[in-house]
Amino acid sequence: MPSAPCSTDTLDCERETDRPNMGRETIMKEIHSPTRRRTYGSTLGIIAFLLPGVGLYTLFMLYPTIQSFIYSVVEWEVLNPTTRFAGFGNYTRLLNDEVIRIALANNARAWFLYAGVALPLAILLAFALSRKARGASVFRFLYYIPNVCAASVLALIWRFLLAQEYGVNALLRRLGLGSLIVPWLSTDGIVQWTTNLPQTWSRVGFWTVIFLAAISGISEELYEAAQLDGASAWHELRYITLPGIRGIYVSANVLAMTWALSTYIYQYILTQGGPLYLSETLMTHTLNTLFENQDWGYGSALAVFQFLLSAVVSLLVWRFLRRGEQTVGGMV
Amino acid sequence: MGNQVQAVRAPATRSDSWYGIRRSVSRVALYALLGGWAAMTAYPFLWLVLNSLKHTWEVFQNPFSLPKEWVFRNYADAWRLARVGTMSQRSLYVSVVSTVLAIALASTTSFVLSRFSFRGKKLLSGYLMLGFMVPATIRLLPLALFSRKLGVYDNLFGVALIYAAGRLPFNSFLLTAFMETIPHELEEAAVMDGAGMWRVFWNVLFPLSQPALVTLATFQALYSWSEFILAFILIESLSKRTLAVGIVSLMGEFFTNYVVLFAASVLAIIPAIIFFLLLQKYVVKGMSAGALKGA
Amino acid sequence: MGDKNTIEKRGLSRRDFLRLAATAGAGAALAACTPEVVKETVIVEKPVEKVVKETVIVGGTPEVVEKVVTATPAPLEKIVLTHPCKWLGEGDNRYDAAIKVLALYQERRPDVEVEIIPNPDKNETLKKIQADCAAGDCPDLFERASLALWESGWLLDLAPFIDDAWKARLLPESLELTSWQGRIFGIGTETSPIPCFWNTKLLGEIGAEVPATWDECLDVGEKLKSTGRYLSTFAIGLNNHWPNNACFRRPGAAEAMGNEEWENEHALFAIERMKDVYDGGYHPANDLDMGWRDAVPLFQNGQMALFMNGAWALDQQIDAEGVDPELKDNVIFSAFPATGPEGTSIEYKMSGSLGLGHHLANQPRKLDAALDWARVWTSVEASIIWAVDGRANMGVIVPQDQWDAALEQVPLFKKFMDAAASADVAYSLGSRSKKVQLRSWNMWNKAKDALLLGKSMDEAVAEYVKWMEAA
Repeated sequence: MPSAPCSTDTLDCERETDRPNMGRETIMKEIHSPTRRRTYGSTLGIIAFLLPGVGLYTLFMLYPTIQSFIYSVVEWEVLNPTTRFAGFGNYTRLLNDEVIRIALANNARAWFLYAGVALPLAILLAFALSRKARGASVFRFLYYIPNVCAASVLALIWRFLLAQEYGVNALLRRLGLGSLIVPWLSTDGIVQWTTNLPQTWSRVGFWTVIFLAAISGISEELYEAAQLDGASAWHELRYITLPGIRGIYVSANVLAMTWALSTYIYQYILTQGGPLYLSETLMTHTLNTLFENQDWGYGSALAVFQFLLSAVVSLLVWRFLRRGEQTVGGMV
Repeated sequence: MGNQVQAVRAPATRSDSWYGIRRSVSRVALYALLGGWAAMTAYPFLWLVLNSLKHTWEVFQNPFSLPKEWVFRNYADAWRLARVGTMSQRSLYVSVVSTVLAIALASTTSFVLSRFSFRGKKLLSGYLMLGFMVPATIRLLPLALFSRKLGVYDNLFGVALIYAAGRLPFNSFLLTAFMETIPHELEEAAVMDGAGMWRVFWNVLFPLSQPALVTLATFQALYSWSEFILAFILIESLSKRTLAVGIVSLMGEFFTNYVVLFAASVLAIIPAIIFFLLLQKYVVKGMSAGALKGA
Repeated sequence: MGDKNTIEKRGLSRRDFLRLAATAGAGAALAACTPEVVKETVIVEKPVEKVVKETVIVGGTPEVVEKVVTATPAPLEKIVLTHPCKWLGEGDNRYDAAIKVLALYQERRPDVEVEIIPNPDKNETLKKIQADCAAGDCPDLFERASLALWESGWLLDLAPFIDDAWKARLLPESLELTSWQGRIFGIGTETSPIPCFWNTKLLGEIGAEVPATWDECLDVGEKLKSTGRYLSTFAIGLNNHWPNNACFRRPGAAEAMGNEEWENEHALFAIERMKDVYDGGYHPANDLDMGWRDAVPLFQNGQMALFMNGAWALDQQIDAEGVDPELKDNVIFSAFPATGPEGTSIEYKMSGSLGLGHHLANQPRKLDAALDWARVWTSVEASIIWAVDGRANMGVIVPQDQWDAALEQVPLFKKFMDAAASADVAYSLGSRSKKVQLRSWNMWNKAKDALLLGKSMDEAVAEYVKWMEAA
């Protein structure tokens, strides 16, 4: 009978839930859900269960993606479907592309806004809502709404709001704050941020709902104990809530990273890459190359680059944050 | 915990929501935060609805004021021009079918991922995560060719299938996290009664995952309802177009009837909002009943 | 047992869940029964009379005799041509005109059905067409045959099919835009001149006439600036039509650009003219923010004097619902003002060109039907329909008397076309170099961006050169 305590890496261990009386505290102590000695199931069964999901995923997601990557090194003949290896010229072109550098800077700004502004704000809102008895579901609903709608419609609304003549500026003028008026979508230094704002804005609600759910899994007893000790709300947040949602926080960061690297819809609709490439992102550049310039080879190379970058950086973020989790020493 | 003791205060009663925050200033500040953000998220939709009831020229002249004339005709026009009635049916079909398929695919995959360990399991998880890295637009051209070969082109069922397969990473992530917290006793009881893998899955784990399945269904349905690019590329017949495509079709090259576009967008958003409103309690419950604590 | 209770407490019981699933399934089945358009295949049988020569033996000698034989050919399937278009649908007057042209075609070819498929916005439609073509499923008819599509190999070369008579009635500038190295990949279906639209009410207020030279133009700008209004915007013409005119009408410009000598004196001249307006401040301060759709209201509301666009703007932006009804009476059209001895000019641009899918080469019946469609589309009759109902210029040369008679019905369009005819130099950007054609709508964009961001002339030129080289 395995008897080591559970941690992230061991699979065979004694789980608290083996005990018949499960309190919420004990559920919290699970970091990973390992399996016991398998008492049922077979390899064949595993394959059978995995086949539909993984199979269709491979068929409709991975295979077309790989196919599109192939165009970066293979000459694509439409009328004579023979393929010829065309070398890595597209990749050397990647290295010299100035637009990529500008684009990556914008992706980095997006990442800063998602991980550095949206996530903390979402945690704050989720915490505030979780401690509040009334009206939480209304707020929660309102926060989530942007995620319910199609991005193209939202982008159109934002275009109106940010446009010079009749957007937010018209409002500022009415309020007498005319001096604050700035061309939001065409000023160097500002457009790079305003094109990332709408996505940040809509994601806050998404993260809030998720963090709210995670927080509600934290045991009430911990909070009660804290109150008895006279802790303030800030202490509750810092010493109970944050550690309690550590796991989902890690996943949220990885997701934010991925989204930051593939952000494009708002840049595309608001500024089409901005005056003089200022608000280009990796994805808008890729799409432009593919569909506007119809340069399939180079466009595919860009897609490969973005994919690899996403994979590598996500892994790094996950590893980095995960390591931090172990030294925290588990839950309080 | 004792380290964090501040000046000892009389413990508050349970009914007081803000333990420890006495000063009303902080209270006001926090309500301002909550309310302020709610205003920021709700405002653009209010703007959308208000402007959908104006004439086009008024949208440009007074974008932030109430309509001088409430033009309800825009909604009738939107219903007619965007064929909202018939297109909604197709969007509904795609949403429902893709949700059912997504549940089937994700539950089987998550069952294995949460209950068994095997060589290459971590690799498989990583493999599924790759799906997050790729937005749909990259796969457009190969998918167009491929879907024809497989016979799922110009086929609403095919579109639903592709949605379900495409969202598998997210769905299985959600479901696996939830399933991991389901205690093993029940399935052990079933195994002792002589159940094999399928019975354990179908009679024990699948029913027990219902809260998370509701969450999954909500996300999947909302995604399918408003997805545009794949629905546009993969469907040819006009009689099979979905609502999202119909709405984007209102943005013409030379001319866009903005108010009709706004009205049509509102018509498309309303069912999604109602759907979410009804299910939001379950969505949160599905994610929180033990889920999402560790990845 | 305790376990069963736990299950029930956890939410929906299994029975409820199954009920829910059943309802969902029923709903799905119901939704699946959406009425679909069922296409019927109509069999067209037309008895044909043929004269057949037979050898008959009469009195021992073979004689050739002619006989009339009636035969019914094997039943033919109805041909369906797909023609994806970017029109909105009902309510868009181009769609209405297209339906009339379709009727013309049906009279001539009752055995063919043409599906006009309205598609969303240009970029999305292009993606779909590329995706379909990449999958080997090109549409039969292309609404916007471009050089890029030709290079991808998806269009049929029409040169062998366009005989001299047909060529004679197509506008040369129009054909230029759809030819490349001796091949013709499309036929212009909307080739519009791009004249200047002047708001005479505004000009009257500052006491100016319609400018005939560039300096007069800048003068108007100066006067307007003092009243808080603008000459024009970069968003609507200054990033495209203006510099094009300034550059390409000069002798030698077309050759230099065609040889890809981007930094030639003509291009520099064009960018300098852009800088004239920027330095003078005759454009709105927020110009960089605006797309052309945002700039249009400025003209509609009488805040700017000059607007440039094609015939499509007449119905959509000048004589449209919600616009000041006096606007169309206050608009005067003119060719682009002279910048030098070469005089005034007008550019012909294409917003649509009909192409045939390359796969039709192997389908003779369909090819025949498609060519007929092209013939009808660019016939004199159809052109008159387009002019009168669609306020569009097909790029077809219509006999003068018929043209004049038709245009009497659409005075605004007549004024528009007359202005184009009055130019000293007419040109199009076709057949120069591939890059020039690819960039015919946005050649000077990066230079404009640079100028409006406050960069120097040299930087603007550098950006322009980089942009052209990257094409």
